[in-house]
Formats: sequence, structure tokens, C-alpha cells
Amino acid sequence: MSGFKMCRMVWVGLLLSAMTLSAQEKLPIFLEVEAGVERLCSPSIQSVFPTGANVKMGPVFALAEEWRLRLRPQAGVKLFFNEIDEWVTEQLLIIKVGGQVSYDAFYIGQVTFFPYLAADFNWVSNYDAESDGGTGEDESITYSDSYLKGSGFSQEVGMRIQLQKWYVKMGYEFFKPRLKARRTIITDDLASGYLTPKSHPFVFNTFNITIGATLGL
Amino acid sequence: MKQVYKRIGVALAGIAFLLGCKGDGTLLDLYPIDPIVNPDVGILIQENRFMNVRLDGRQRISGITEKGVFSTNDRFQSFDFESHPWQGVQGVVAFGDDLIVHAPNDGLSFSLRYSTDNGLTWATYDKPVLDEADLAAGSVSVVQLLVSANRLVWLLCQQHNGADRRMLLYRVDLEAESSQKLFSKAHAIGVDASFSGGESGWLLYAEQDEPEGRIHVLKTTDGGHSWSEGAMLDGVEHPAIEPLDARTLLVYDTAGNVFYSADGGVSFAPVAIVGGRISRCRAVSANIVYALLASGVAKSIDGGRTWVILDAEAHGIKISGSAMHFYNERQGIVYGDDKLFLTDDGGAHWDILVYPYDYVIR
Repeated sequence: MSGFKMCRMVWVGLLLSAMTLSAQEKLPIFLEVEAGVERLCSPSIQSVFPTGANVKMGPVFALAEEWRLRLRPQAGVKLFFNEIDEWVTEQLLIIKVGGQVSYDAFYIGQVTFFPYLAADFNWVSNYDAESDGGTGEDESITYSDSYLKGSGFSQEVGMRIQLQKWYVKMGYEFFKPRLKARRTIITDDLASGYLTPKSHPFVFNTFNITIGATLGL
Repeated sequence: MKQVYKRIGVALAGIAFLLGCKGDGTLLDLYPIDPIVNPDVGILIQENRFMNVRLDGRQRISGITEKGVFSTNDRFQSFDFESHPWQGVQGVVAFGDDLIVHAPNDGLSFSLRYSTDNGLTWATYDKPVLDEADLAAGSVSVVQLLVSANRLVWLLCQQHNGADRRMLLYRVDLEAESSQKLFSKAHAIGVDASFSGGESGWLLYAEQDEPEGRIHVLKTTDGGHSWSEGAMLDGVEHPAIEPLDARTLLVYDTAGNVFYSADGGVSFAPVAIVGGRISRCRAVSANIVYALLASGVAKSIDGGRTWVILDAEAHGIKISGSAMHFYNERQGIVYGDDKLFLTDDGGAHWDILVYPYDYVIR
């Protein structure tokens, strides 16, 4: 069974059990939407992509005593940018699907602290985006074929600090996917006298800070 | 959906641009890439070229370039190069075991010198090779030099006297400092000579008055003292001999014709190699013979009677060159002026050790 299939089964299992519990016990379901910034930790990769951003969302199922355990199936994207020139930007796109578990550990005043764990399956693609120079709705962007692409699991640990419906998250994600180079790159390299492996692992560990909101459904 | 994706992208880009996103290089720059050949080998082929290369052992390769001598014990991962201009530019050169012989033209005759240190220093053979009578009969030039064991050197020479031609064969013993005229044939144009061991040998010549492309074979079984007429071959261009043993030999030409003889050159049977021009044949043993084609390599495992064209390619490069040297039946090199390939398995697979890639020729 592939890793992605296993992840999908776990995800569906969590969702179903949470929904069943929610239906039986009339537990609340929320929707969380968040966006933040990412910083790659590997110095060599950070030199290429100094910064990135993320957007995630997913329904939250509150469980356990006083709804302190939160299960969140989630989906999101991460995008890292490298400005090649005025019109061309290299991008590293990571599309994620997975889940997050957090626990209402303690609170100080109105601020609640949720340590969390997350696991996602990720699809990674590295390409160039070229703008035609337009602005706003008139801007047209063309994307190159992927230079590198691959997939893999990631794990994230962190702390969520919540004040009413708003929260701030700080986390560290462990992610080491194996990316494959485009076939034409390998053949072009070979013609130039270089041997290029079909795939290579990259360390995309990131530190992230995210702002989000918990919305009632 | 496309609009949603675009807006998410614009939002993420906005966040990132606020923080700055001018990177250094690209992610692809971090993808590993290994040069197929050591970039340092450029010194051997840039404004330089291979003259003679030998596979001396499983890993050791040594040779001479136009500008120096080199050796490597790890297949050019590292190598030593000693700069020393090649001095054998003019005249005929032959390479043997630890011996290089050079016969430059010298007036109406030639001189003979040799080196035992890969051309770094040269000694002149200062005894006369030609006698007074030969010199008086016309100018003499060397057609081919052969180096055999015990520092014996064979000189196939051509004498010109007006429109008349004469083929001469000399043997020089560098150890004993003696020379001997072994054979002389009037109206003959020497083409090639080769020996198998010390006694059996063959000469190819053309009669000066016969149509072009007709070649006669001479054979000796007593070290060149006496010669007998063998077969006559028609329609060959620039033929050469490759002996396999005392009775078996191949005659091949640049047009791709191959002739096989199992009776010491008395008769020949044509052999088919579908590969076009043959630049070199090398018998590694009595059975294993390699042929260097215009592009590619052919191999025979039955002493040259049947051949197969090898799928000789390395990293998309067709194996080609002008010379080859084999350490044993399976391990050998093919090289040209600016490239060198190696096989460890009898030609089934090849490695590129030297090639004029852009990063080599800087």
C-alpha cells in the first residue's frame, strides 16, 4: 500500500470517527483558516528561496473532555519564491493534504495554548512563473514545465496560541522529499558530459509562523 | 477555480514579496551533477593530442601526447603529466614495449633514433643502415617501422630512382648495434609488413606496373632471411596485416575488406564485416580480434572468420578512435586524438575516460 493511500485511509478514518462522535454527542465543528510565512532551515535551500508563504484550512472536530482535543483534517499549499529577474520568478509549490491534532493544554487569562502535531502528504513542484508585465486582472502568467517534482510525507510540531477566535501558530515541519529531475534535463546534461541522478532528496524542513481564525459552522 | 488559485497565489506572493524573495541561484543548481570525465584531462587534448596510449594494467594507463607524457593509476581520476614536446613530428614512428623508434628523413636517406623513456630523451643509432650500393641506387625513405622483442627493429623502405621503385627490408638490432638488409625487390612498392613471433612474417607490396588495388603477399618463416610468394589480392585500398599466429593472418583495408588466411598467406578467403571503413585491427589472442571501424567496434571470437558489430556506446557517445590497445582479451582502450574509451568486459560496455566536452576544453 502506498504512503499516500495509507494517509488517505487514516484521514478518512479520523474524519468519519470525528463525524460519528460529533453526531452522537452533538460535538461542535469549526472551520479553521490560516495563512502565514515560511522559512526554510537548510542554508543552501534558504539561499535560493529566502521566504515562502502558506495557506491551510480544514474543519475542526472538538473531542474529549471539555472539547479539549481537536482533530483537523486539512489541506493547504505552501509557495516559496525566488525572484530571477523582473518578470520571472522561480517557485516551489507544495500542495498538502493531511491532518492535525491539537490539545488545549493550559490557558493564561483568555489566552489558550494548544500544542499540536500534524502529518501531511505533500506534492512538490519546482518551476518558473513568467509575467507578461501586466498588473492586476490584466496580468498574464505563464508557467514552465516542472524542473523538479516529487512527493513525500511531512510531520510538524508546534504551539497554537488562541485568543477568542484568532490564533497564532509557530511550528517546525520535518520534510525530506525525493525530487525527480525532468527527463530533458537529464538528457541535456548527458549530452554536455554530466551524469545526473534520476532523483535526489532535498531537506525542506521549515519554521513557520501562521495567523488563523476559528470560525463556527 | 483558476481564479481562486490565482488569488491564493497572489496573496502568498504578496506576503513573500513583503519579506523579500531575491534568491541566489536556483533549486536545480542544488541538484547533484557529476562530470563524466575528469575536467583536468583537458591538458591532454586541448592544443594537444594523444600519440600513443597503452593500458598497462587493470587500472593503469600511460602514454604520450604531442606535448608530454602521462600516466594514471586510477583511470584518470588523477594523473601525472610531464610536459615535454614530442620530437617525432617528421618521419615514421613505431612504438614497442618500452621502446619508441623514429626514422626521420635525412637528405636522400633517413636517420634512426630511439627512446627508452617515452620520448623524453633520444639516442641515435649511429651505424649506417644502408650500404653504399643502396645509397648509390637512389633515395630511400621508410614506409613502416616495426618494433619486436629484444629491441629488434624492422624497416620497410622504399627506394626511388627516377620512375623506378624498389622495396627494401632491413632489420636493426639496437642491442648489438648491427643492421642487415634482409630483402630487396625491384619494381615493388612496399605497403605493409608484420611479424608473428620472431620467425613468421608477411609483407604486402604492389608491383609498380600493375593496376592499382592489386596487392601481393610475401611470407617468411625464418625471420625474414628468405621470402616466398603468397596470394594476390585485388581491389584493396591501403591494406594492412594483422597476424594471429604463425599460420593465420588477416589482411584488411580502409574500404572495409577483410581477408582471412589459415595457411600462412598462400590463400585468402573474404570475410564480411558490415561496418564500413576499418581503421585498425588488433588480435588480442589467436581467437579474439577487435576491429576499429569508422564509427564503432567489431569483434571476432573465432580468429577473424566471423564478426559481430558491438553495441559500442558510452553515455550516448559512439565509441570511435584511430587506435586501440588491449591489456588482455577483455580489457582494452580505444583512443583518438582527443578521446579515450575503456572496456572491462570485451567491448560489451564502455567507459569514457577522456572526451572533449565543453567543460574539458576551456
